[in-house]
Amino acid sequence: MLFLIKTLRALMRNPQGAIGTVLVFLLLLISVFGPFLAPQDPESFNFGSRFAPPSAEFLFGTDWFGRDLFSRILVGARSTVLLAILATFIGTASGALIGIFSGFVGGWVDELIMRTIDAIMAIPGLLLALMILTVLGSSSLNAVIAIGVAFAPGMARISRSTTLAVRELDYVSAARARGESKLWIIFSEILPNMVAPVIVEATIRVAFAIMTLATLSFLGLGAQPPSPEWGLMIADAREHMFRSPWPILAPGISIALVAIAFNLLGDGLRDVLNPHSQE
Amino acid sequence: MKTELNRRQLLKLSAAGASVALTSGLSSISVAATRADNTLRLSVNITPGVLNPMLSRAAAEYMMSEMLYSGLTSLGTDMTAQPDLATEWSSNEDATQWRFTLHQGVKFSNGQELTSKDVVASFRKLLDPKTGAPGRRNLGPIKTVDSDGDYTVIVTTETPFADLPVALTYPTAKVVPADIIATDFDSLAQIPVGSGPFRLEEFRVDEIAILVKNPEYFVSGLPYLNQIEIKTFPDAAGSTAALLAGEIDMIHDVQPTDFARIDKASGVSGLRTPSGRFLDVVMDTTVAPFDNILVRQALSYCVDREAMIELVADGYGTAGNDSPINAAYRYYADAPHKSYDPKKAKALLAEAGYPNGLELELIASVKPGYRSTMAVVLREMAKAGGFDISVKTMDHSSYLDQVWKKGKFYVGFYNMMPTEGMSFNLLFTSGASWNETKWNNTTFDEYVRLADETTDSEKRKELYANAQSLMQKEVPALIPCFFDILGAKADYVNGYEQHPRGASFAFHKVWVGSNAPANK
Repeated sequence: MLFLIKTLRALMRNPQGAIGTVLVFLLLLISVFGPFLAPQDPESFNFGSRFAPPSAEFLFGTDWFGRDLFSRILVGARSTVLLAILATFIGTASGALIGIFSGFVGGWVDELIMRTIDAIMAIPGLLLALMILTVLGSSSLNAVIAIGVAFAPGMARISRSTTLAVRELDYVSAARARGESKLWIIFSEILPNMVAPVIVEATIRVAFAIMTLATLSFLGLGAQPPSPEWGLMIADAREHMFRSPWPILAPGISIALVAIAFNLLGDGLRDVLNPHSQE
Repeated sequence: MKTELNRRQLLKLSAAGASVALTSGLSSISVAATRADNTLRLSVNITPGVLNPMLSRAAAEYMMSEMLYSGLTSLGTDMTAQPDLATEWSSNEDATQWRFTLHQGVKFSNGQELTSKDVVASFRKLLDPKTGAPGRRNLGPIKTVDSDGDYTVIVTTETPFADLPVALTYPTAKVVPADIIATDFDSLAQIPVGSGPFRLEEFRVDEIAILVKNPEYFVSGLPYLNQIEIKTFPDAAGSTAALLAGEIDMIHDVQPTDFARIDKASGVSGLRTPSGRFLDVVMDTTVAPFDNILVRQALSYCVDREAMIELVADGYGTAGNDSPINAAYRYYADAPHKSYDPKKAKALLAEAGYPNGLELELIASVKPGYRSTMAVVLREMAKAGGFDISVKTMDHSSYLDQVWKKGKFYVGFYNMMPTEGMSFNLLFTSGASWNETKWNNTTFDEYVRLADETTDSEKRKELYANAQSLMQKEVPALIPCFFDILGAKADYVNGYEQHPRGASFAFHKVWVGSNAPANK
C-alpha cells in the first residue's frame, strides 16, 4: 500500500506520468459509468438526422443510421478499454509466470520453454490471434483470450531475462544458502524485484491490446455489430467516410487518446520505478 | 460519358439477321482507335475461386467462365436468348423438341474443333446430379440431349417449355470438350479449355486473373480487347480510390454508399440499372421457431420496407414484398406492400407461443457489406415487434462453407434471374437447387410448374401471380428490398452495357479508347 502511494506521488511529479495517470483515471471512470451517462440508447436509429454534425443534441454527431455517436463512445468504452486491460492481464500474468519459472529453473527446462516460445513468437501476434479466433469462433471474449495468448510469449521473455539477472544477486544466493524452497524464492525474492519492468511493459501493452482488439473487431472477428466497440465502429464507418467524417473521427480519436494515455502512464512508470533514475 | 461508337446499337438495328452475317460485316467498320495496350483493368470484390465453369457460383466466377467458355445461347440485356455457339434454333409446335444449329469451325483453346458431341457431353454432364452443378434444375425439364450430325443438337423436354433458349443461358451451362469430361473433368479446376473470347494467361487467387484475347474466337473481329486484368479488391474503398486514381478502368460492383461520390467525380461515370437482385433473410422452415408460420409472418411485419431501401441500399433500390419477383420481371404481380406493424407482429408472436418475445441469432457474411447492414437494421426494426435478434458476422468463405444452405437464419444475396420460373426453381420450389428454406410447398410447386409449361402469357401471369402471393402469405424468406446494379467505369471504356441480371457481362464487346491515359 505504501509502495502504491509512493509510486503515485512520484508519478504526479513526473509530467508524462501525471498526464497519463489523469487520463487513464478518467478513462476508467468512463468505462465504469459510461452506460449510465449516455444521453441516448446507443443502438436506436434517428431516421431524420442521419450524418448529423456535432450539435447540442448530438455532441459528437450521428452516424449513417442516425445513432448518437457520443452515447456510442460512452457505452463502447467499457467493452473497448476494460476488455483490453483484461487481455493484457491474461497475457502478463501467464507470460510472467512462465518466464520466471523458466529463468529460475534454468538448464534444459529453460531451453525447452524458451525454444517453444521462440517458435510461437515466429508467428506475428495478430496472426496468432487470428488463428486462435478461427478455432474458438468470433466473439469479444474469445478475442480477449486470443490477445492474451498472443501477448504471453513476449512477456515471458522479458520476465525471464529479468529473472536471470536477479537470480545471480546476493540475496537470492543467501536465500538458497538458508535452504529456502524454490517456490518461496520465486515468490518472495525474485517476483517483487522484477515486478517493476513487468508493470511498465504491461501498461504500454494495454495500448497495443486496445489497438489489436480494435483491429480484430475491424476484421469482423471480435465484437459483433451493432455493438459500439470502437474498432468495429471505425470498420463500419469506413464506407461512409466520404459523406460524413464524424462516425470515423469519434472512435478514431478515442482510440488514439486511450493509446496515448496508457503510453504516457507507461513511460511515467518506467521513470519512476527505474532505480537508476531515482535520486 | 461519351461513347465513340456504339456497336451494340448497330447490332440491335440488324438483330433480325443471323449473327454470322453481322459480325463479318462488323470487321469492315473501322475499329475506333484504342489505347496502345488495349488492356482493361477491372476490379471485383470477391475473388473468383472456382475455375470449373460448370461449378461456378458467384459473379466473378461467372465473369471468368463467360470469357473463357461459350454456351449455346447468351442472355441479352432485355432477357431474351441471343446466339452464342448456336446460330439459330427452332422448336416444334408444343415446344417440347428444340433444334439448335451450331456455329461451324469453332476451336477450343487446345486446338480441337467444337462439335455437337461436345455440346451433348457437356449438357449430359451438367444434368447429371453427381456433377453437383449449381443451376442444374434451372436448365429446364430437359429429357434428352442428342446430336444430329456434327452441327445440330436436339434437345427434348419432359413438358412444354417455351423458355428453353433463355434457360440455357444459365452461367454454368458452358461447353467443354467431350474427351475432357470423359477422362479428366477435375482438371478444369486448374486448366480451362474453352472456346470463349479470351484465354487464361495467369491466375492467382485473391489477387489477379489475366486473360488475353483468343485470336481464334469464332465471332470474327471480336474481342476488341487484347487483355483483361481482373483484380480482386476486397476493400470497396480501395477499389474506389484505385478507379479515381486511374489504376483501374472499371469497377464491377460498386457499393451503394460509394455510388454518388464516384458518379460525381470527373472522368468516371457510375453505371446503374434497376434489377431483381435482392437480399433476403433465409429461414429454415423445418426447424423451430421458423416451422411456425406465425413467427415468419410476425417477422415480415417488422420491416419498414421504404426505410430499408434508404438505410441499406442508400436509396438505390426498390421495395420487396417477400417474393423474389419485382417490377424488373415481366410477370410481376403488383400487390400492396406489407406495412410496418410491430403491434401485429407482437400479437402474432404471442399467438405462436412466444408472448415474451423471441431471441434469434442472424448470421451475415461480410461481403457485400450491406448484408450486415441489413441485419443490423432488421434487429433494430424488429425490436418493437418483440424480436431480440443478435447479429453475427462472418467472413465470406466461412459463410459459404458453414452457413449457406445449412444455417437456419441468415442473410442471403441473389442475382436477378432471366425469368420468374428460374428464380423460383433456384431457391423456393421443393426441387430447387438451393432449397435453403426447405419450404416444400406443393401448391407453390404446382403453380410454378404449370406456369413454366404453358406458353399462354395470360395464364402464366395468373399462375406466377398466385405463386407470388403465396410467398407473401407464407413468408419462407423475408425479402425486404431489391438492389439496383451499380458499377462504375472510366469514360474511356467503351462498349460496356450493364446487365440487369448481374451475371452476364459481354466483355468481348468492350474496348479502351485512345483518349485513355497510358497504362503504367
